[in-house]
Amino acid sequence: MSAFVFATAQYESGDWDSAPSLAGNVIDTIARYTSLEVAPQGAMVSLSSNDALRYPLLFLTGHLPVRFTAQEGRVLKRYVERGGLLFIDDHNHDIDGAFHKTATEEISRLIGPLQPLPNTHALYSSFFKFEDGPPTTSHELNGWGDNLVHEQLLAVTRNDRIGVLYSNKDYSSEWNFHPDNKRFMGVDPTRFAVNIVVYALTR
Amino acid sequence: MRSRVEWLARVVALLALGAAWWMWQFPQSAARLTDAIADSDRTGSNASVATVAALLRSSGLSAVQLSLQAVPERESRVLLHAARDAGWPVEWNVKDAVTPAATPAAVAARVAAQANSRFLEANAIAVAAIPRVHPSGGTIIHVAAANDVELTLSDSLGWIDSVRVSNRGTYWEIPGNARAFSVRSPTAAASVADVRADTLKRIRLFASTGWESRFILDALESAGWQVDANFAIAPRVNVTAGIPAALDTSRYAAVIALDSSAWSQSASITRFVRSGGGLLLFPGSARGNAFASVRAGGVGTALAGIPGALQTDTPTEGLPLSPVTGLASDAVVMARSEREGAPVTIAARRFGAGRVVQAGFEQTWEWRMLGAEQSVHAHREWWNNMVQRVAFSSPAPVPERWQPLPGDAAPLADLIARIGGPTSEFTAHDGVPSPSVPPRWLFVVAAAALLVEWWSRRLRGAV
Amino acid sequence: MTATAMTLAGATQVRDAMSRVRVYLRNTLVGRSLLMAAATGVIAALVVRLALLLPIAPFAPSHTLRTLLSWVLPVALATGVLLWRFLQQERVTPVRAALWYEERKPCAHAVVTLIEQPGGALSEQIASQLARQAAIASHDTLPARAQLREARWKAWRVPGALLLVASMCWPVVTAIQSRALPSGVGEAALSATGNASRTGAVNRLSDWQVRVTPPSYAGLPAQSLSDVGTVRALTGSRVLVSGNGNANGLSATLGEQTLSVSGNNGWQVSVIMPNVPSAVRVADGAQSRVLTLVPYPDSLPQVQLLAPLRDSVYRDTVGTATLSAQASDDIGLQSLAFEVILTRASGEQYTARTFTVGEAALNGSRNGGTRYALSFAGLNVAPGDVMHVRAIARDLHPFASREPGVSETRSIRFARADEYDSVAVEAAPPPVVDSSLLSQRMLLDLTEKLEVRRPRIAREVLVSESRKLATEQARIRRAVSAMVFQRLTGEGESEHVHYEGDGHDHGLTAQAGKLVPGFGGSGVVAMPGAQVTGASGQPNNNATDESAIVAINRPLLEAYNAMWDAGRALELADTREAIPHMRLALDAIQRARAAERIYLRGRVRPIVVDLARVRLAGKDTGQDSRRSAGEPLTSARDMYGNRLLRASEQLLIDPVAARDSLVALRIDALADDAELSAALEVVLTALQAGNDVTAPLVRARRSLLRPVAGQGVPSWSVP
Repeated sequence: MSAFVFATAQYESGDWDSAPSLAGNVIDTIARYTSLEVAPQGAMVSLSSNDALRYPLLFLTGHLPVRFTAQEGRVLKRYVERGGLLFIDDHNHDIDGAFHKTATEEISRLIGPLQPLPNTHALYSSFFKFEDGPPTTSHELNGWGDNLVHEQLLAVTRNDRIGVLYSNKDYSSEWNFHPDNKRFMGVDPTRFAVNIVVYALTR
Repeated sequence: MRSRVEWLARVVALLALGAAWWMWQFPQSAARLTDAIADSDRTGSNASVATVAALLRSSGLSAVQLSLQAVPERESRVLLHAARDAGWPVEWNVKDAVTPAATPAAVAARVAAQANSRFLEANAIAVAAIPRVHPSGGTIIHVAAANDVELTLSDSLGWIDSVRVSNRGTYWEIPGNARAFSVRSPTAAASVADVRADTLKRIRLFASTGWESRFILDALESAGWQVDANFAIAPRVNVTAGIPAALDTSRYAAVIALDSSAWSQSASITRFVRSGGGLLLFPGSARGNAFASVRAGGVGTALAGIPGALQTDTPTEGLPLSPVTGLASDAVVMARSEREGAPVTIAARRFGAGRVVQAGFEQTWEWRMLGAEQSVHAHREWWNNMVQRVAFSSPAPVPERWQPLPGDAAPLADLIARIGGPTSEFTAHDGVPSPSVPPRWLFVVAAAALLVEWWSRRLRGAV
Repeated sequence: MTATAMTLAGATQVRDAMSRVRVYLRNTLVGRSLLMAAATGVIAALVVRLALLLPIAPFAPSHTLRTLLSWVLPVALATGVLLWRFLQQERVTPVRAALWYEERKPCAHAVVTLIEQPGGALSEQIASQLARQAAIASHDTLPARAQLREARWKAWRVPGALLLVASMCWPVVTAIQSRALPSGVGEAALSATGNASRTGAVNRLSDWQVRVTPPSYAGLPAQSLSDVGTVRALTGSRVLVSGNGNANGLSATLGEQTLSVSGNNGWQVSVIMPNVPSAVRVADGAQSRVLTLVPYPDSLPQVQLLAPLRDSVYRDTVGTATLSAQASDDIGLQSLAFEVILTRASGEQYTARTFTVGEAALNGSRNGGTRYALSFAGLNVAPGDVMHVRAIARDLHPFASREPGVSETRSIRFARADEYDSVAVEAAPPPVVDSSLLSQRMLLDLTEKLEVRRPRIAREVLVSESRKLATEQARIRRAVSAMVFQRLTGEGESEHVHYEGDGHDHGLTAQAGKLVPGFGGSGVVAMPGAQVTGASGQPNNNATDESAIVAINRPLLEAYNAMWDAGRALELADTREAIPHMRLALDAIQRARAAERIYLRGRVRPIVVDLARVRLAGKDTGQDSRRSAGEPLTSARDMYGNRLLRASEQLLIDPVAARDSLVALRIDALADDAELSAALEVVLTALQAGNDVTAPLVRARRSLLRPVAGQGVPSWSVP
């Protein structure tokens, strides 16, 4: 059986690698709490290439406006229709920001409108139990960006399964640190990443 | 005077009855009648009903012996069958084929060859219907027929398809829930009725957590199967699909053993297969000794998928492949790769009452994600088909309307079934205890005499 | 025996005989009653069955009423007749039997007396008479059987004949009944074919006219269609169905919605073409007809951004960028413009400004374009800013929130000054040099062949052919330079800027025809690897000390310069000298072709996790979870197959409902099964015309079933 590879999507229009430590951190988290086979290093894959389809879980973030090229749009549509899960996080944490406005517009245009995901969704109990839905981030609580605590994530579902998961909560900042620094933390803020990965692998 | 007439009538009646009884009990000496039936030059018919009936009516006949040039028509065959059932010996051979040294087997072969060369090649077809073990139902029809025969498939609502046979047979996979089918050729027909699928059972999946198991689940569930599985995420933490239970053919149609996670259950899986269940093996599970007794062959060296093949019309060539090697003696090769050496990609065998299919492909999910248009559908159908190849199905009951006689679908076989095979030399039937029927006129005389006697008495008013 | 004894003996015989006569007569009467009752019942049943076939009732009798009339009524009548007979007829007493006997045997008149007298003393005279009678009685123990039989025959023949005739009529009536359709079905069958009703009234639904008026914004002409069953039109078109006769009694529906039917001298129904296929049903009593509506949508405009051709990086924040776009639409375009998003970052803060420029009104034309010179100075662009540009086109559709057609987006980055000394720019995508590659390779091949032939050909021929190769080399060189300067200036023509002091400084200067990188006028630097002298005069071996912009064009610059040398040698017919330069140029082009797109700013070394160290080191543990089963994808094909089967069976029972089912099925199949939809259209047309629908139905079913056939009998049960 091939190992799970955490892949970050590279797209043309913006700063796609604004959270370069996130991949390693998530991989570390998966190894700490599960016995899943995981590759020790993340991968970066271009959205304009069909290679993106080799990674049924993709992470996408940035600060700058998101405008997918025609090829990227084709790949994304195919990706979601065939069962991939695209996890997008607004690194600005700003619903008035360029990333959120353009990314949501692009997703709605290419795949479908984003709808609020109920906090009772199976995603929040796929491994760890998150009673109140998506965990808050320090950036949210510190009034960063739009100064809002977003209570729900957004999603596009296909056949009752999440195809696109969209976050305004700035997990890109929350998880963008070297995993060795976890020893200084009382609560591991990256645990929700395990839920996302387990959901993607089993649903 | 009248009383004398009456007395005479009584005597005549008694004499007639006595003569009939005499003839019944003491038949005439046997006369063997050998007739060249079906001499089309003379009679212009082929063992026609009239000819056979004439034989049967002939007085003194003790046996029916025919030299045939061709297989008689159905009515003639039925009459001959009736004659035999009535106690008359019925024998036949092929005209001009009788030699002193000819054995019945040789004669039978000669007849069969002649008959085949004349019309049986176009006549003989055989049909079998297998209900698909599939959530959406359907039927697979197998037909054996001679080459170049045009076959037409119909059901109760009408025509479905036509095909010209080129490999001594054909098969159809038909969706829908029709129960009765008929297959016709220009000169024959065969039908199957009451094709009923078994109640659909569940599938048990043994696999580690990963993309392959995730997409297999999705493919089978979207096709309508119910799948039970247990995925280990962490020590003492599992994600469960369905309700995994003990392996039993009453609950499960098939087991999919994807990798080594199935090894710990190999004994129960083997028992399940032996009792009729189905098993799908893949390289990860077929390696090692856990399934050495049931698998169709060994696991060869892994080969990478051919780049770009996932986008072609042979997408499985783009998947990583560990060929099935060292096939068991009873294994059936179902598919080969187009690579050099044509390695076996899918092989099957029966084990006990069950069936095992072993495939060499890995990471089939890549086909779904990276394949051409409709790859999701194709991937789903491929898994559906794999499960169908092994899925347990209860034996179908023999229909009540089963008829032991082939009828016009196989005229020669019908003739043999009715009156036996050909004989090389006719047997003398002197003194055969088949009763000779007294002539009718005796009964007419007796009846007339009795009537006269009675009438006369009536007119006299003696009653 | 004495006379008295004889009398008494004869009297007893007579009494016994009369008793037998009485029983016979009584049985005869009972039989007559039964026959009459049976005949009454059968005749009543026949009459009722015949009556039920005729539409004489003002209402359709229910099944219960039919059962009562068919069975209970005849039985009741028969029972009534029987009872009446039993009550009406007189008992057959011994005296009555004797009287009956006496009527037929006048000489037996004393028998009556004898019967009346139970016995006792009798007079001589009577005794003698009785003796005579007794003698008769001794000879005629009973009246002749023939008389009794005749009496019975007379009593039974009429009711028996009636019963026989009625019984013979029974199968005839049953046959008539089985062939007769219930009146409702007959009407429905006629109306399903659209034929005239049996009443002979004018069919208001035949020969209807359909007028389709597209929405005004589309500017398309209206269409008139005669007696059609399907209308295809733009979503939002007005569909007007009209026919002969007034509107009284007509009703129309569109799905669940009721439509109004109006008109006195001709009826009409108006409906707006919906955005999904549907059907208008117009009904005239039991008759009805269906018009299928098949919409086609107004597509979004197709937009293409022609300039900038690709993403760019600018060193300067002054200047202009030429924007160019074209658009096309199936109906007509309203406007075409450029949307610009200018993003500025400071630390972790990103601000964005969105505006529109270069809007062109296209006034409904189906194709159009626009150009705009975007001035950076006017936008107050600063180093580090990122500009995203795309073209947006709107069509004539009046819906305010209608989505526009959009092009691809191009990004223009303005490099910061501190990025000049680090490879921190986004490299350009591989240049489109494939055709150059082929040409340069071909040119090299031709030059090598010319070099081989050189000893055997005349000098003039060598010079002539060599100069032709030089011309080709110059052409390729110009193409490469155009590519380089396209990125730098956004302009195609470049060779005029290769001279110092011309006022155009792109980081490159021309030296002896070749392009060499420069540092803003501080000096010139040779090709990479050569000695670099910095401002301090010290050698600067930092390989990254060059214009970042130049860095991405390096292979092309090398190719350009090598081509310059090769061209000069070819001009001098020195093929031997030219070949190495041409090979250098070819190699450089190949390197340029293989250049990858990389983004290096702030690149952190990727983290590689030591899995063995951290495996299961977490303090928290997860919990078991149950995965809900996915829903099976209902195959539309299976559903359609079942619906088609039910509609086919329904045709024999309720043709109108079957037709409606087929229409609904056809509408649903329009979306995902065009073949089935077309086959069903044929079925409905045949149904409308009153033709045999068997063959079209078989074809429709065939299009659904699509059996898969294979040759040979497979070695495994499932092939």
